[in-house]
Amino acid sequence: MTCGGGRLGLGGYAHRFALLALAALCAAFSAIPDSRAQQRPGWVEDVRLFPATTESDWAKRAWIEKAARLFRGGEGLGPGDDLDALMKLPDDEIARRFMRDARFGDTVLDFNLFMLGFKPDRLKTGGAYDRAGYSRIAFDFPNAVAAAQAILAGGDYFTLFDLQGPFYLAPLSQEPEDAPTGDDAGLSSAQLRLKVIAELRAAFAPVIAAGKGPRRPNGDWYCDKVNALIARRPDLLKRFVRAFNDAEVFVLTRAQLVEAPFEAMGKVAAEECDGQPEQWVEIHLLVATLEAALAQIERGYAEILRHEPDRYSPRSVAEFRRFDLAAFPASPQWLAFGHEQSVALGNSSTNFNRKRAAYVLKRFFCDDIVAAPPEPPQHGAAAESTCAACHAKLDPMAGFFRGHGAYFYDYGRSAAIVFDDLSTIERGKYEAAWRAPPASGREWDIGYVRSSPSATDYGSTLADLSRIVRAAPEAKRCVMKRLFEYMVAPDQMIDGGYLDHLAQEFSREAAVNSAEAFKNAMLRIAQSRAFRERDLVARQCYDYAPGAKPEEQPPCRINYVLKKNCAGCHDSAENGDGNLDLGAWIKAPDGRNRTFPHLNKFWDQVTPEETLTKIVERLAARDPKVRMPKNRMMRADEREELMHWAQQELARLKQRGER
Amino acid sequence: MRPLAVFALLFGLAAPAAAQTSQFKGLAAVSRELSTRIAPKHAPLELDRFLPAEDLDVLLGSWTGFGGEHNFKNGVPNSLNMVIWHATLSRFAAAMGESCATPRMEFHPRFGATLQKVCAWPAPKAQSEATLTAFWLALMGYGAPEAEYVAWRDFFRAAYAGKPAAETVAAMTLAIAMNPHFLLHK
Repeated sequence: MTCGGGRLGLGGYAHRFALLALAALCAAFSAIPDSRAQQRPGWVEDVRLFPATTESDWAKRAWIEKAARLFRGGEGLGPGDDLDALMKLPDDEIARRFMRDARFGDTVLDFNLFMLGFKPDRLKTGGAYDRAGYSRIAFDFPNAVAAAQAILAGGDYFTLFDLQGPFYLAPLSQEPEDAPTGDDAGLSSAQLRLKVIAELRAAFAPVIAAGKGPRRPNGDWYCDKVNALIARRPDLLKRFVRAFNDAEVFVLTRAQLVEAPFEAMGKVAAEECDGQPEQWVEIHLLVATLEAALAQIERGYAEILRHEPDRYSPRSVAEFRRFDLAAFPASPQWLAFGHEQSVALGNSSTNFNRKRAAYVLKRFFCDDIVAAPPEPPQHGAAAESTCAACHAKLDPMAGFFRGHGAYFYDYGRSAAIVFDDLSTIERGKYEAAWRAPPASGREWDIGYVRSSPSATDYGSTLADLSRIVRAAPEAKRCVMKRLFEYMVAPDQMIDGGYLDHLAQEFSREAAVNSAEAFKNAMLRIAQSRAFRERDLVARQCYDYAPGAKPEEQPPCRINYVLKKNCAGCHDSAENGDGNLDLGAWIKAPDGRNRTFPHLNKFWDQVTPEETLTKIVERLAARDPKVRMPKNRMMRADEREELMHWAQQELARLKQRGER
Repeated sequence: MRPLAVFALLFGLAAPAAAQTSQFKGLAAVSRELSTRIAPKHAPLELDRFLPAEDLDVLLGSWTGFGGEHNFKNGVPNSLNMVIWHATLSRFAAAMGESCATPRMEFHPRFGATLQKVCAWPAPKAQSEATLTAFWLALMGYGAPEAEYVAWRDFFRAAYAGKPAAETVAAMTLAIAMNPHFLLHK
């Protein structure tokens, strides 16, 4: 049977429809190779495809192409690749060869952005590979860039978890946010940037010159000059930023490039000029302060100008340049949350950083609180427990960001904090939300909360949070989960045991060299069945841990539903709620069937029938005191799927018992 | 044959859709793939230029977004994005067909040579196994099963046996580009 026919080759609409249908028809008929062969026109040469010769040969070529796309930043095989030579190599050698390509840095950076929840469509703007510029988003997540560079250099991949560190300024914009008008009309962005710094110099110059003349000026007169310059700060700043786009203004603001030197000037001016006689004003001190402030601005600005596109246009991730943060007034370390995250993760006066906390839990620990939100509280007592389920985790995590207000601006040294909704609060009052009780033995109730209180990691600063994430096995498991999603498909089911296996291997190898561990993990997934398979079914698992017997486990999908909705509380037959462990699957007392660890009041394992019956009852119950998951919402399709499976298992056990 | 084909089409589309992962790769990913295969490095192919209107690419499956976390949006095939895909790829296919006479885009020399061979259609050399395989692999790669190629080849050899080159090359290109194995993440 063929996919075509003479009549399908019509013109116009029919022709288009026929072509549309052709592709699907091919897929529909492709599973019938014998009939296809029978109806092949006689004049078709009886030769097999060049250069593939066998099914496995074709499959390997498909794998090589897919692997090339994965490891080389989305660019598959091209005319320059010698596919026949690659065919002679084993899979791991092929993958490692691709990893040595400069484009592998793009893959890792793209994955890191996926991990952080901000994957773009394109890392690069248009242009040939060797001339294409990276888009701004590629620079906006410094921990993602640092970790990608670490992979290329054999360094520390877990810089991905460092929430403070280096800074990578994107090549400066070629077009200002608003088109230049008036005297600026016709100027390029680069010319405008030279103009704005010249304007700033021009504002300082007469005041400095007046203080350095041969005769000492009158102190009051000079103070008026200095204070007039300081008072011009808003206007000067407004004119200054017109040469930059929003993302660059964000950088200038966070770095306090202009504000910090002006603040220093204001402080000295207040000391010298307020409430003392004219003669006592130390003119030379004021002049020195002005010169130091201007020099500080110039130093930072010179570093910024090193990123003009004609001087800086990295062709690969390895060429991304670390900004010299020493050039900025007071930024020894740069916060990893860039412009886009600052917009996405606002902190309102009622939110108290919980959005940021939920983000960290989801992105670094794969603990998505929003995916299974609590049910609306019914009454006082229930409300307390319903809310506590999430807030017990969220609030202590939010505390790490207590010093950061709008746009992640650091208010740690300010008396008040400003939120993204522009309201303010006195900082001491705000921080009281995280003060630990006096008897607790710690200053703050801030940390990563685990189900067992003794396992909770407490801290206070963002450096502490980075340390906690680096050490957490949950974070390494999360990297493996996201890597699988990235390489296979974001909604592809993964067996818990297989994920544990990937995480264990990754953790073990990362203890020696995290860059190698990451590459090995990619290789493992690239060689998995899920990666090789075409037409994956999303709710099916394709890979299992070595030695695992999937036929002796609940279906992968059920494991997933249980882990997502139930195993958080029912995690141990000894200590878990209801003496039930829904994360394990053991031999039942009858020795024939398998069941969840579930103990009765005499600490004996109960029968599978009893466990399953209780599961069905709790899932179907309307009474909120009985209904499971307790005080939490569960997706209707997942509830139905779990119910259906439990009922099927019960029926199967019954049949087996009758036999 | 035809009623059976329509039935097979409807059945084939409806049955497994809910169970499968398949979403569109998105215009950016498809552009990148295609560009690597057929365009020279100094002049990458951007399918955006074939969009019927600006900014429609976000409807074809996209990670783009500002002000919130990025999730892949509009990736599930629906009637709207299928129309946009079809319009975009029809323009691309037409440009490919027109390139038989005058190149409408810059090609990698190796693909250019393959295209010139196909452009001799309906000459026997253009219908040869080697030429058709090279054309198919240049656009599709190995993403589709071998049977897809065989069906495509047989269809064009039969239905387009006497058609002019430009029309045939355009139709061949569109048939490859609209193939689920080309468009969908698999």
